[in-house]
Amino acid sequence: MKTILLHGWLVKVFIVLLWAIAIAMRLTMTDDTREDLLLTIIAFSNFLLYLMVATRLPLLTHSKMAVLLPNYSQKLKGVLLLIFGVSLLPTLLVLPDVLTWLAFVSISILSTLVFVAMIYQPIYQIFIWLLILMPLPMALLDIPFNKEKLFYSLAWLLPLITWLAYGLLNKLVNYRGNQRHVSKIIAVTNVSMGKTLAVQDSIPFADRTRLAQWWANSHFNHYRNIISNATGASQKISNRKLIEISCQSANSFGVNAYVVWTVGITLLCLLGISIDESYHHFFTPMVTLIPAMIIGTGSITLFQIIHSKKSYLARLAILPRFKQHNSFASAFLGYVFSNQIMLYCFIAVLLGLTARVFGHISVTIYINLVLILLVYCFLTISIMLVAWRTVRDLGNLVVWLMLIGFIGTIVFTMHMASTDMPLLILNELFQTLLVTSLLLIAASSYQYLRSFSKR
Amino acid sequence: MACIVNVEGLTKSYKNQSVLNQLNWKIEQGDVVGLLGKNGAGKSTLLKSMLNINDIESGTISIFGEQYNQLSTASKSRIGYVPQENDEISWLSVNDLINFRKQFYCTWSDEKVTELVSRWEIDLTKKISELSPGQIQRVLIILALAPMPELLIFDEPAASLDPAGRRDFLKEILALVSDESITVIFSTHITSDLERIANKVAILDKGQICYFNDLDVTKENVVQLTVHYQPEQNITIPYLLRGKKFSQGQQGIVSQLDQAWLTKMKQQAVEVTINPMGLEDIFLELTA
Repeated sequence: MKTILLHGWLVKVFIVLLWAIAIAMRLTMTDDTREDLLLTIIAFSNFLLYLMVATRLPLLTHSKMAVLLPNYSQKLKGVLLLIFGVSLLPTLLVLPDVLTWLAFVSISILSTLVFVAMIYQPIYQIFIWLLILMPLPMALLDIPFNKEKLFYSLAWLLPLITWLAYGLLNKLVNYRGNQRHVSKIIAVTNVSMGKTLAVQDSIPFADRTRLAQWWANSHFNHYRNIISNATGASQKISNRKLIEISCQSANSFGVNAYVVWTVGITLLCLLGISIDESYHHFFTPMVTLIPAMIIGTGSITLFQIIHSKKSYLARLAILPRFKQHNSFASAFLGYVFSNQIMLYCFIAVLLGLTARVFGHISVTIYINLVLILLVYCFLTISIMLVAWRTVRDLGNLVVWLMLIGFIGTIVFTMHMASTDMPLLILNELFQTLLVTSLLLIAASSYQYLRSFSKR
Repeated sequence: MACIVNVEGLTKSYKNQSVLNQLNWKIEQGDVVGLLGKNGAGKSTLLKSMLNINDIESGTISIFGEQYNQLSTASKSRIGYVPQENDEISWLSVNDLINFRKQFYCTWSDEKVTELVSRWEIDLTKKISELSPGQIQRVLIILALAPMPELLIFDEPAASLDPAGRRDFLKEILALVSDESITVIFSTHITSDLERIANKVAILDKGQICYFNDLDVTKENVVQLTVHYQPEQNITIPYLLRGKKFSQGQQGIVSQLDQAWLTKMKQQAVEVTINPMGLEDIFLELTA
């Protein structure tokens, strides 16, 4: 059970690395000036661990065999307690400050409850948004934040929190509810990184929530209309459109996604305009998260969906419609480029709009960010094309590379914002990177076309 | 013989569509029961409900004399189950999966695992997602047999197996059931498999076990009769399921062969021909 809950070496290595950094920091710490950083590192590493365990947990609680295997829930409870116990070891670095340590244990228990709850019941994801937005109502209502008081209360609340958590743990190990949502989580955690989003298409339509059904239907309706309207020769669907239709899935970033995000951002900006500028910085985490989420759903999803449809597209490519030399490959490239360029343009506009309203980034940083996104876009399209062209399954590798590149981009952006970096386009290293990414995308497109002309 | 499974008044429906309706069923120790039913008749639902994998609306189910949803650890150890669809974690290797399952049983037989793994040529290092449906089915069967259970429940166990694999699997089950204390329930569409190993046949139709009897008795009783008589004679065939008349008699299928009626026909010099039927035809007639 431990192996299943802690599956995934990359996250494990990262957590252990963070623990090691925390230990090194504690050993070299002479005063309490870096205590907050130490607490942050320990908390972040433990949150990662809890999130990892929480996402794997449905594989065990909702396994059909769970009700049949002897002593299953007791064993699961034991393993969960053991993992939680081990996760508390790094918190000992906080000692000899007993009060902080007790508060830390309370925070750890509460965070596990939230993580597990939001995995099983998506409604509890609201806790994360509340946490992000909490400073705003506190500032609006003029409630002072006092860390000492908060930690003092959490330390004294520990027995109550422990009692509550133990009760919920007993329920959790026997929990089999919310099958619809959990089946989606299981589908995602049951596959490798390269298929996490595409696999959701395999969930039967009837098993999806009403919202998901409506979302998928409204997305597909757009393409159904295109097909049903293409009756005469003049309305014939173009090759590119045909490929676009073939590459759609319930999770594709389509017209409805553009509309929803536009409406959401507009409302957020209207709120930003209507409130005092001094509160704008409370929105920074949210407006930073939104472009990241759009890239995740728009770029990684596109890759996974097309990757999962490789054999289908190969069959499509041999149809008489694509008998002209390279007509399929060029139409396919056209679709991928237009899709991604539209997505990144949309993100650039959103970034510009939010930057204008909330002022969280300067014009220079905005231009730099757009340039970085351009390079990221070129690089990701290049590696996507390599993966789609090769016979070997490079799905996992590509998604990991995209994620690592993405995290690297975010870290670099944060660094850029804090150091007030000048225009990147004037930087020789960046110029080299931009040219390299351009060469890479040209080379991978050429290779893709060549791979089709050989067939 | 002790009652191993007792189902009374089991009712279950999906989205207001009744699947099982006041179903009653009693299985005794040593029974090897083949469960037949049309597609969507509710065979899997019945087996899953018995094992508490599916929630039920009403009814009582007991296994080894205990409530199905409050089975003790000891009773759970005595049950082996092979589901129709694979539910195992796909990124685990076969070896990891076997080791994972082994943790739960003190009666686990490593010898059995080793023997079946080598006989069925299963690569222990391969991930579940890398196996073919037939190989996955074999792994699931190994997982169910390894704890040496006393009650084995198979949901379409041979559906994904090739003919050789099916024969091997049936041989394994035959060897198992030679021990009279072992009870086996298996749902299937392949009536030839059922005929080979089952001693009882159950037919699920319209939400109920509409037929449950010994296989031999079934084959002796459910037969096709051809009765030759004069038009002026008025003869009614008892237990007639379906029949058609012709100028000099009647042909039909009966659910039970009435010996007294046969004797009477003999006395009246009416010629009655009995044609035995295969299980597949019997099933089709009983559920028509």
